[in-house]
Amino acid sequence: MKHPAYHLRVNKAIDRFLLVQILDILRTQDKIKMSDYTYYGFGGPFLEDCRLIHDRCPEIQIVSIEKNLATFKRQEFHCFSKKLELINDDFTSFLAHFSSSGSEIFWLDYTNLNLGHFNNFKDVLGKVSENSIVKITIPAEPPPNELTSENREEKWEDFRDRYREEKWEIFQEKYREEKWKDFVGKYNEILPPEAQPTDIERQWPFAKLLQEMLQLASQQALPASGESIFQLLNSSHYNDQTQMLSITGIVCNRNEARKIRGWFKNWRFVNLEWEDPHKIEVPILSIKERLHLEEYLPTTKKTGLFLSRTLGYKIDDTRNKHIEQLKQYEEFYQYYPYFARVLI
Amino acid sequence: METNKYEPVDATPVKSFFVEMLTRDIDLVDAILDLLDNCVDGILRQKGHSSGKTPYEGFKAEIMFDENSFSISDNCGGIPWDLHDYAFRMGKEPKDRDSDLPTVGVYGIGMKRAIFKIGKRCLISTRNQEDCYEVEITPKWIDDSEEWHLPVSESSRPDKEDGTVIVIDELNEGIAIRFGEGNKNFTRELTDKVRTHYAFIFNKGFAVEINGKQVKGEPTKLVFNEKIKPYIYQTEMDGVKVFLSVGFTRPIPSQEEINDEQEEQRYSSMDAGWTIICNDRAVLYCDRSELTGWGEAGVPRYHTQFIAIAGIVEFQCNDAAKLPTTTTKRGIDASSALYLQVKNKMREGMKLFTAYTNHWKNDADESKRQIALGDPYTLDEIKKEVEKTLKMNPVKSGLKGEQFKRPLPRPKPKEPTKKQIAYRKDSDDIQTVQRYLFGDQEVSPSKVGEECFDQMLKEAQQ
Repeated sequence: MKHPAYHLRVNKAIDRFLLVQILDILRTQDKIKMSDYTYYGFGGPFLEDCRLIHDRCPEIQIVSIEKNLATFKRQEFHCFSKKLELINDDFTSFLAHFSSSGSEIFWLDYTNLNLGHFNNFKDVLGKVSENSIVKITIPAEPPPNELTSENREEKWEDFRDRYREEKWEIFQEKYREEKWKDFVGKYNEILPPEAQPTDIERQWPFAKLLQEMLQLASQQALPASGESIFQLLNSSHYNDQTQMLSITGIVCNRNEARKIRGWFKNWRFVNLEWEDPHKIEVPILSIKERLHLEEYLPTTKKTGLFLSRTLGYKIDDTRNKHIEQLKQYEEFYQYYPYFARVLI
Repeated sequence: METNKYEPVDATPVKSFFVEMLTRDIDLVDAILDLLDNCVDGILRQKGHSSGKTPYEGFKAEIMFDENSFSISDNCGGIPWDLHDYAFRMGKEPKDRDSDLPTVGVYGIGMKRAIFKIGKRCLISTRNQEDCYEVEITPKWIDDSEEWHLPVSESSRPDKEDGTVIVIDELNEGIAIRFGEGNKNFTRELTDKVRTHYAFIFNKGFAVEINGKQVKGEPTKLVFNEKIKPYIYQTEMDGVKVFLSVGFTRPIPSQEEINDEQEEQRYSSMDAGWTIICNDRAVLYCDRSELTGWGEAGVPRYHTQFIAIAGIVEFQCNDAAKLPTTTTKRGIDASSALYLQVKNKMREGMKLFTAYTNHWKNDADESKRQIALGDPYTLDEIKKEVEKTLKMNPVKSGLKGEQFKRPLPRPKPKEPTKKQIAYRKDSDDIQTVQRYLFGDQEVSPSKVGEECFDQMLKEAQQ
C-alpha cells in the first residue's frame, strides 16, 4: 500500500488541531463529560489523528477502522495505547453494524470523492447521539479538464468521429456539457438547484459547491421535522497535495442549538452559518525563520504586514501572495508543527 | 303495518375529512405540484389547445415561500366566474369536467387539498377578462362544520394580466419549519421534482420560478443514430393516445464500472427507468420498479448495469378520467386496463435494451462507440422522425397499434484465434506491478494484466 506522507503535511496538521480545539471548547461545558466520548477515524498506517486525540484527550476511547489488511497490520505495529481499538473492516459495513453507546467523534477522512462518502456521512449523522462531533474531509479538486491535458488530441478525434463536426468551439461546448451531465448524474441527490457547470471548473467555486452538497446531505439525514440538527462549527479549505474541504459540526437537539452556538461563537475559526470555508494555506518556512517571526507573535491586527517588514524579504513570487502567506502564518502559527530530522 | 323506527342517517360530509384526512394522502411537494397543474390547465382553457411546438410560451408561475407564508402566482388565464363551482367546491360533478381539453383535473380536489395541507388562512385572487374577484378561507371557516359557503368579493389586486394569486399563511405545524430559510433541502426537493416532472412542459415554453430562481429542466433524451435507435410504439384506445419510446440515454457501463459501483456507490442512477407523462405532466419519473415492468415477465430487475436504459410513455386524452393516474396525479393506477396493456409493450421494448447490455458488457468500449454517435433525441424529435422517416409496422396481437423495432447490433462471434486470459493475483502484487509499469497513474487490474502480456509478447517475438 502506498500512503501519502500525512505526517509531514502542515495544512493537514492544522486541520487536525482545529478538531482538537473544538474538543477543548466542548470540554469546558458543564454538561459535557469527555470520558463519554469515543473517537472513530481512519488512522492510516501511522495513526496520526488517533495519536493526537489520545495526546490531547487521554480519557477518550479511540477506534480506527481500516479496510486494507496490510495497512491494518502496520497499524497493529504502531498501536500506542490500550485505549485504542483497531478494526479491520470497510467503513460502510462497519457503519451497518454500528449503534451509538455514548457520544461520538467521527472523522470521515477521504482521499477520493464519490457519492458513497456523502451517504456514509448521512448515515453517521443519523446514528450518532446528541452532542456528537462529526468531521468529514473530502478532496475538493474539480473534475480534470482533459482539453488541457495530453489526451486532448485523442478526445478531439473521438469527438470528430461521433459528431462529424470539425469546430473546436463546438467540441469545447459539448465537452463541457458532457462533463456537467456526468457530475449531475453522480451527485444529483445532493446537488443544490442553483449549481451550474462553472461551479465544477475552478477550485474555489467547487469547494463552495461541495460545502453546499454536504449541507444538503446533512439536512437529508436530519430532516427539519426531526429533533436533531447538524450545527456546523468549522469549514476549512486547504491544499494537502490536492485541494481538500474539511467540515466539522455537532449533532444536537434543535432546541439546544442556540446554546451550543453560544459555546463556539468567540472561537476564531467558527463557521456557524455555512459561510465560505476558511482558507488554510500556511507557508513553508525554515525553523530559523519561524523562530525569528515568533518573537513578534501574536500581532494585534494579523495583516501579515508587520511580519513582512520584520522578515525583510519575500517568501513568494508576488507581494500579495507573500503578505497573504505571512498573514496565514500569523493566524495558524500555534498549530504549525515542527518537523525535524532525527537520527536514532 | 309497522312503521320504520329508524330515521334516515346523516351522510353529509364533515369538513375535517377534507382538511385533516385527505391532506394525509399527499406529500407536500406533490400538493404544490397540484397547484402548478392548475396553472397549466388554466393555459389550456385559455388557449383551447396544446398543439404546436411551444404552446405554453409566455406563461409562467412563480412560487415563493418562507417560514411565514406561501404564495403561487401565475399569468395562466385566471379562474372564469363560470367555473367557480368547479374551482371552489370540494369535489366536482362529472359534467363539470373539461370535455374537450387535455387537462389533468378529475376530482376537483387538488387546489383545496394543497391549501389545507399548507396552512389555515388563504386568499385566492383571480382575474379572468371581466371577472376579477377574491375568495378567502379563514381558520374560522375551517373550524365551522356547518358553514360551507365561502365569501367572494371584488378583487382589490391591481393585476394587469389574467391569472391567479394564492397566498397562504398561518402555516400548519411542520410546514413552516420545512419552508424555513435554514432548510435548503426542501427548496432542493421541490426544485428537483418540478425540474423532472415539468421538463416536458418547460420544453414547450412554460416557465416556473421558485423563490426568484427559474427552474431549468432537460427532458429525457434517447440515443438515436444509424446504429442504435429506440424502440417506439404508438396506439389510440378509447380516445387515449399512447406514444412509447425506450432506449439508451448514455453508454452502457463496463463490467469493471459495475464492479466498482458495487463496492462504492458512484452514480445516483438519475435518468434511468420509466417516465410516464399524462397530458404533458409527468406522473412518474424514472421508475425502476415492477410498477413499470422491471423484474417481471422476463425483464430483469433493475441493476446498475442498466443505468443507461430509459423509457418514456405519453398518454394524451381530453377526458382526464381516462388517464391511468391516481388521485394525487403523481402515481400510476397500476390496475388500469389500458396501462396493463401498455406495460406489455414497455417490457417488450425494455428487453431489447437489457439484452443488448448483456451482450456488450464485456466489450463496453465498442458499445460506447456505437452509443456515443451523435446527439440524443427528445421525445418530440423522436415523434418527428416517426412522422417523417421511420417505417412503423402494425402490431397485430395484444394491444393493436404500430411499432418501430429495429434489431440492435450484436457482438461478432468470437474468432477462434482469440482466447481470453483471466486470472486472480494478490492485490498487493498487482499494485507492485502497476507501479512498476505505470508509476503513480491509476489503472485497472485488467490493464496491468494486458500490459504485462504485451511486454512479454514483444520480448518473445524478438
